[in-house]
Amino acid sequence: MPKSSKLPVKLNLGCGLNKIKGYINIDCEKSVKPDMLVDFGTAKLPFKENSVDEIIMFHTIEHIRKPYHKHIFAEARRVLRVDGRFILSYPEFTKCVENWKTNYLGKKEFWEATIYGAQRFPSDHHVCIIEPKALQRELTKAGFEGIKHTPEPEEHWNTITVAYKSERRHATYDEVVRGLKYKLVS
Amino acid sequence: MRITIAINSLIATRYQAYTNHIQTFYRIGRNHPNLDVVLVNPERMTIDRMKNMAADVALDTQSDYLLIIDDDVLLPVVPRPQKDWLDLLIAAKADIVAGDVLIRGYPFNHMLFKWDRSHTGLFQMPQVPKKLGLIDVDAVGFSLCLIKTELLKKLTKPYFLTGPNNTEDIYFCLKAQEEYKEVKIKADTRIKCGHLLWDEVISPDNKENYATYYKKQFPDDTIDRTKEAKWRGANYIKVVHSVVDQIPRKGKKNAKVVKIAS
Repeated sequence: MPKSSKLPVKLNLGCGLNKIKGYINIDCEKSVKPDMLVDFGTAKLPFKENSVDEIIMFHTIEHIRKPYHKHIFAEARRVLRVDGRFILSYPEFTKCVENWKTNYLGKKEFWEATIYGAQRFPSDHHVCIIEPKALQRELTKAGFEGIKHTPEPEEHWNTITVAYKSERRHATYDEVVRGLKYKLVS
Repeated sequence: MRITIAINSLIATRYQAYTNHIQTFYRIGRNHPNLDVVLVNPERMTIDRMKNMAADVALDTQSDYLLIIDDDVLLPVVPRPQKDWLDLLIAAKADIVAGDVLIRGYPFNHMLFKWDRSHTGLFQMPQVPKKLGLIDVDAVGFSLCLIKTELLKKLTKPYFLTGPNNTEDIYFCLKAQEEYKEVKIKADTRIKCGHLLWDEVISPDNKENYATYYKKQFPDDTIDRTKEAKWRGANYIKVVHSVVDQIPRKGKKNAKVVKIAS
């Protein structure tokens, strides 16, 4: 059988200046000239359901306020195909604070920047704390599974979290209490 | 018109500032013969305490303005009949108006601040508009700053407070915005001041050259974070994929959907 010529669809959400070849680079800031201008914190991603193979958010999530995370994860789940990969990388707050406290490598200002952002321009601030356990809870609620965390190879204070879209979104406790019809049993 | 001029001399004034300030006061007296000046120049006092005292003096002497000058700032000397910096500051008709002074540390941004889009933090302005003049800002450094005493009457004390994460000037500007919503904070970029760095002076006119020299002398202090970001784009994806592909994925559970009896 001939191979499918369909190329995988991969999104780079919140690309900023870091455009990646082979990915559709999406940002809400016009000045970085993304491939697509979408305010993905509030608006729907312009992709059909189950049409995307991979979504990455590299050092982006900590620049977005927490109230918007639920929408972003929900949209990511909507457009990803089942078993599609959602990869996030971010500075792990407790590790950065520990490095700051101990003045690791004598670079206190650098550790301050890992906590608060480099602040070179507007939106270059870190506006929320990202920790793997809390992120895992949010991703699970949003309907992801197989969530794993690993430190970046050369910068161990940064963490990479990978999650896969589950076939069915598990109902949350609140939804069950509110009387949804279906629940999952294994 | 009466102006209270406050200059803080923490330990000793350096000779460059001393001669510049002598010139400044001579010219203020000569160019503004009808101006009353009240000088506040205490020694060995913390900056915020000194400025609070100067604010009290300005109010007690019924001054129209409080003018704050740091003791390491060199003020521009402009020959008449051109307007000097004091004329420009008064003509701005703002509650808080500052001259253009650079921060004494690489990358030598301007001591002028704007809110970011999410209004969570102030950022230093790395550049000002090419056309020099009055600009609206959200906070200023008080290296050279004119404050209307009418504004002081509207705010609660203490006016100036240095904290672990803020200087007293940012504190004042934020306090003014919270307690008096119509506050006007401006900067006049035509007033280019020098800021003393050891034996040298940094000002908007020599910023580019000095920054180039500083990067050569102190490369560790001047990490180019934009280069770091570009690296992230090009090779970072390969690094991340190499890590993520090695993470084993356990088999999915076979979930059975059961309808709960209503």
